[in-house]
Amino acid sequence: MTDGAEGHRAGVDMMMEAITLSRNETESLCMKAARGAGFSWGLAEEAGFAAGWLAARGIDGTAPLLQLLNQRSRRPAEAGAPRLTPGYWHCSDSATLCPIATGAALLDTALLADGPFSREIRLDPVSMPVLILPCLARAAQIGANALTVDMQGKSFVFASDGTVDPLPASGFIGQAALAMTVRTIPHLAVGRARQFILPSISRAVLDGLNAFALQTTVPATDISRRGAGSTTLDD
Amino acid sequence: MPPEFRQSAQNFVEFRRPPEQVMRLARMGSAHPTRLSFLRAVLRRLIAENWRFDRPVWDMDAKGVGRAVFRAIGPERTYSLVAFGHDLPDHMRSDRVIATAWDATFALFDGTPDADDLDRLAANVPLQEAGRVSDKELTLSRANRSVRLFHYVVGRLAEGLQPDPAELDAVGYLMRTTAVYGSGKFGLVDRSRIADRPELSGPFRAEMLSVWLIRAFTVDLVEHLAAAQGGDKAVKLDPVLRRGLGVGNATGLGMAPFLVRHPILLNNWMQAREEALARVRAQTSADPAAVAGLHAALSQAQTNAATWRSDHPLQRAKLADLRRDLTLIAAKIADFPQGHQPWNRLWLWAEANLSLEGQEALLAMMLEPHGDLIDDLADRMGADEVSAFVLDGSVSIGQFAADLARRYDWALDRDYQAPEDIARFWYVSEEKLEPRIGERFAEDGAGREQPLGIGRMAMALATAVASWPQEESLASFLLAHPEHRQMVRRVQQAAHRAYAEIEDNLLAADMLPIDMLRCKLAFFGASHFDPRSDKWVRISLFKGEPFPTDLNQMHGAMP
Repeated sequence: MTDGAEGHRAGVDMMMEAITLSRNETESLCMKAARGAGFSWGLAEEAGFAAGWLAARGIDGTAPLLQLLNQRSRRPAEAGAPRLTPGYWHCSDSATLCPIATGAALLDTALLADGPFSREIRLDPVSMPVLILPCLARAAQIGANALTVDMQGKSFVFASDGTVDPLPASGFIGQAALAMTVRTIPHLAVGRARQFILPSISRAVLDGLNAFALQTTVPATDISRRGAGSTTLDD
Repeated sequence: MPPEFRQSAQNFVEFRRPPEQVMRLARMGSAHPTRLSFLRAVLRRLIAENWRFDRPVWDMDAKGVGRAVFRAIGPERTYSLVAFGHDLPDHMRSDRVIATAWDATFALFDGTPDADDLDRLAANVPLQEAGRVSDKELTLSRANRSVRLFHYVVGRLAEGLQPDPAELDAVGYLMRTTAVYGSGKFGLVDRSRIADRPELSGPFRAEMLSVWLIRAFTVDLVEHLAAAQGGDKAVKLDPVLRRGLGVGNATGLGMAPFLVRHPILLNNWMQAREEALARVRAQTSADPAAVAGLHAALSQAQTNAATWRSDHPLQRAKLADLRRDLTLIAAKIADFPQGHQPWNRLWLWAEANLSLEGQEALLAMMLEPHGDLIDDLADRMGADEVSAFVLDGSVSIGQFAADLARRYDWALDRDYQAPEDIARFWYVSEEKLEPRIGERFAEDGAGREQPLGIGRMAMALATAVASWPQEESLASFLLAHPEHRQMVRRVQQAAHRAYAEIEDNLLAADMLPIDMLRCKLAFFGASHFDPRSDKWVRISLFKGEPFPTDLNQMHGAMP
């Protein structure tokens, strides 16, 4: 219930080297940073949601997102969008698939009769693959199908209620890009959702994301300051 | 129809106001608080569940510097307002959200804080945005003294005298909050972690509880300072005068985008209120207790209108409308009820004869005596925004375009090329990271516009889908057009939520941001809406409502 309540920089004045953001702060910061880096508003929301989803499960999505945004800033805006062919999603350029655009497309097509989950589907290497996990979990949920994901010889299972156990993310975090194969399996409930501790993120990552987020703001002018609030000392 | 409302959906259709009537800025900007407003819902629960209140810490010096703890003790959980008093030089006192020092700062703590908690909060809460709180706190806020009234009241009480009621009415509060943060900001607990608690499941419950406890702090503080100044001569504030004091709040533009960014919440708030009005109108007769309640509500509205002051020309005109309409309502209900469905007759008369101010004021009055009929709706005003976040890309473009045309017809009647249709743009200032509104043809920055021009976004989307094969899936369109993804999500969210969108052009030259502020603040329960420009306002919260000690007395003394 506050003016400016949505606008503050997360922890910008803190001197500490690592900081724990709330899920809301993570979502808000990552959404703005993704927008600042050139994602459309709608995909930026997906990026924010993905980082928040990971945070709520104790996984830091902010560092991989910052890496993704840094890579992206050196590539054309449409780079990394998936091209969908039956059984195989490949990258529309020579680079790796963008986890945000690819994840969004997986979700958008999840309910189509001839969609990706109607057969086994192979994905070209996906950048920062940890960022696609939230979309796989939600895709399992909305399709009411359990999914298995195979990559580098390991298998991970996403239950149809969206839970993942054991959480495979730690193996993903350091990975810059991984190809994967996704297929549906009979209904499987993995277990109850656990309460995780929010991850702490480094000062450098926070600064990097804040710098991208700042690209969504506008320098103030005298006109803009006028009338926005009280300008007199108070009575 | 969202699931929250489905069960009663079919019963009152003919009495429900359509969105094209309700969701217009002019009417939203005439909104009055009702018994479904959030602060009323909080107080009802505190009373119904026999909550108790105490003040285990009061460590303030003669200048009001120190700390205090106010506890609200419920059947399952306790919440504590931790308050810090500061010695703020007059030249540093500013109501802007961008200020850096305040007369008092607060956090709402989850439970009873121990000494370590208090020390941790003392190191951070006074810094507000520049500090860091934890998931043991629910809200973070600050307030400034209304200097003239604050000093006057302290002076009178110190001399053993009560303040002049006219002086109290002229301001209405001792302190003004300038921000009340919740929902995970600055490290506060995430809403998703506490939303399953019944006492916090509705919107802004923790924020309202905080403000209500701050109100108690403001009175305790003037009494404390008066005692320090006047010694044995000093007296306490008369309980009747005390009850007339609220907490002020200064609110700027930043609150306006909230209603646009949270279409599901907006829908659920509006739908609850409209459902309540429909239930009242649908009654075949008026029982005597409700008729008496209507007269009492009118009397209270008249008192409220008499003490409602504003120097802003727009608000003065609206106040004139309101006062005239209250006179008309008084004459009209002298022989109420008449005939079959008397509430509906009264309502239809209002639509034909009253200004928007008068109609919306009557709405609040008609709801007031019908708690048994409508109070359950206060529990349906929250929203699960996470599950509504997922798009359905499997629908055909033809189906999607039909939903878009049906729900956004109000937006699709212009091409957003005329200067007056796109005169404004919403943005976030780099300097203070607060939302602002600019003049597109006079200021730089429109290249970084916030996506709040919903009408224009709807038109752009309608144009794009018109040239896409109608039998193809929405998913294929989104893959090619990520720039429309946000608006596509909105359209799907709004398709079955009648009140999700403000049906006016938010970029128009004549758009008034204060209309959005008034609507949101009325849902909070704010009274005495006093615009200081077309972009920021002052209001009062909890004026006329009981204090924690009143509730303790109502329930018997603390054990």
